[in-house]
Amino acid sequence: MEKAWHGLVGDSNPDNKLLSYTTQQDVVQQIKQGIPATFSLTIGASVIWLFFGILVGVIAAVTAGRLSDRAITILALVGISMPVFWLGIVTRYFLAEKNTWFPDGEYVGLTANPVQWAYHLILPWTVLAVLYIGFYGRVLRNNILDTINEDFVRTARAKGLSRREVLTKHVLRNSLIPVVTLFGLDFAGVLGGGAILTEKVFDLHGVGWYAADALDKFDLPPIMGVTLYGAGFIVLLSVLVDLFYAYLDPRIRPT
Amino acid sequence: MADERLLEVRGLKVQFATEDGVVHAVDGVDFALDRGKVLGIVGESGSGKSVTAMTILGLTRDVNTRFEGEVIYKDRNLLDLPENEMQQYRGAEIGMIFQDPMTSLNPVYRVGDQIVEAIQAHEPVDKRKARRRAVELLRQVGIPNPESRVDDYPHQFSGGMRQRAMIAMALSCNPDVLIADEPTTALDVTIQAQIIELIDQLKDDFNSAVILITHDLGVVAEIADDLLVMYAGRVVEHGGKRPLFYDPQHPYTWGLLGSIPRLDRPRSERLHTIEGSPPSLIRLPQGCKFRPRCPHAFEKCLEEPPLENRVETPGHLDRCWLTVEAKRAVRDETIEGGEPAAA
Repeated sequence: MEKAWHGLVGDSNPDNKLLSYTTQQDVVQQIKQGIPATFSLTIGASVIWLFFGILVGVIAAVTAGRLSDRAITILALVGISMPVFWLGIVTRYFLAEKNTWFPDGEYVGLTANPVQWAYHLILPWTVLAVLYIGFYGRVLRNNILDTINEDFVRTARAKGLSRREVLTKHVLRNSLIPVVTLFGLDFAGVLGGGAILTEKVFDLHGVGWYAADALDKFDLPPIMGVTLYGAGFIVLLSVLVDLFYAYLDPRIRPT
Repeated sequence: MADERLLEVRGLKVQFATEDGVVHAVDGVDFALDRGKVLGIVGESGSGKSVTAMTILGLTRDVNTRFEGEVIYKDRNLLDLPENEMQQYRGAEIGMIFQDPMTSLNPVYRVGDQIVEAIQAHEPVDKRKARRRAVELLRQVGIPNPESRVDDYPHQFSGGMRQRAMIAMALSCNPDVLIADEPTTALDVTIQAQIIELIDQLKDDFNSAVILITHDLGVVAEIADDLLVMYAGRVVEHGGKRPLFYDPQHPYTWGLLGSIPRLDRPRSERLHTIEGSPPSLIRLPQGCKFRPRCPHAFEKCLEEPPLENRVETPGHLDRCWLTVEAKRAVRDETIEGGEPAAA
């Protein structure tokens, strides 16, 4: 096996590194180079989608059945249904090319220039977050409406707590538990290079862009590398989610 | 001490607008509650007893709900109070215990913290003081080792203990009225008696009044002073416990009495039941609401009888057209059951 491998890659790869077929570059090194862009994209977008997802979900649940709830439900559906590549191209065309309000793609390092970093990332953050905002908003709305009918919520009201206290302390705390699972896995997915389309459309040279590039060229080693790298994040975040679950819900703590 | 009137409900009606029509959940309920007394409200599921209780606390308020009548608590009509003022009554003046202790406590907070939250909602005390009071309350309701159990989560408590914790929470701000909505339905029979005794004893300790809601006449037999029998959102019989148990006037009350399993009678083949099921609260039957299920119904029952005093005992009201003599003649047979009347 070892011999066969050496025979295949020859002496050009004495360290047994995973090399790209097309560029002969070290895949691990290339992934590492993509990490800053991918992490910046993921962290910023996840802050946006979590914040707005919760906001939208709470507003829709509190006004359930009324106009704002209906409007949010429709907007959420639109957000979920829009393909990222389409939304990305459209926003890029109208906001960065036709009108040059925003920079047209590319990534500026955080340490190099924090303001430019954020400025360059606003569009990709927003585009990536739109899908998740709609999704999280819908999930949270339904969770809240389920929780609000629980007996312990009635108890909390019978205690004399205000609507706001009941909502934040009793309803929201319990309805956010399922959202944590979703978030953990989505976050891991994007962190692991899953935002292929967003990175490609906005020319962010992150891990997802690297994977897309390799796919174009049928370059197997980078795809293998990115897959493994992504799988690692899924496993890691799943463990973290489980630990956080125990913090949120005392019933599943080991006794 | 003269009887101090704490709560008076007059002509209470509660209607819910639903997609299928208007649900007349409560359709004319009157009663009064004095300090130190226990009022038992008895009826089947859907008779409006829980809605009555929750309406007193303003928990049924909703855009689709309509109220009529008055709920007078210490000279104020609670139905007219805005939500933020109503909040000050909930828990502080009127405490409530719910049916299912398994789901009525928030699973993610410690039992003690939930009691502390109730105390702090109404009194400006710091957390340490409130916590000490929570421990004391848990001791009063009979939780062993309250100093350590106060930090337990609800799932670490048994059903009986959770109901005790619920009682502790309901009493935490020393309310004058305690409403217990089927407090023993979800519990073992042995625990049921303990909880009922506990409520009775705490009523004296806290010098309050109790509304005990149940579908089991056996539960209220021990501690109630007055009884209110509800059917289809209406009061069908109202009176002191003794007259109501020994001289029941409404056929529905007979049915309820007959369906209590008793050890002092020979065991019949099957437990006696009231035939049929309660009417839809959207399309109520004409006249007496119990007519379709009543074995003694006659033509006059197509007109609804008023709730009035028909027997010698003052204050014993019922809603039945039968003459007192006729009732006494057929009553025992109906209660003893044996053959269902329809057979």
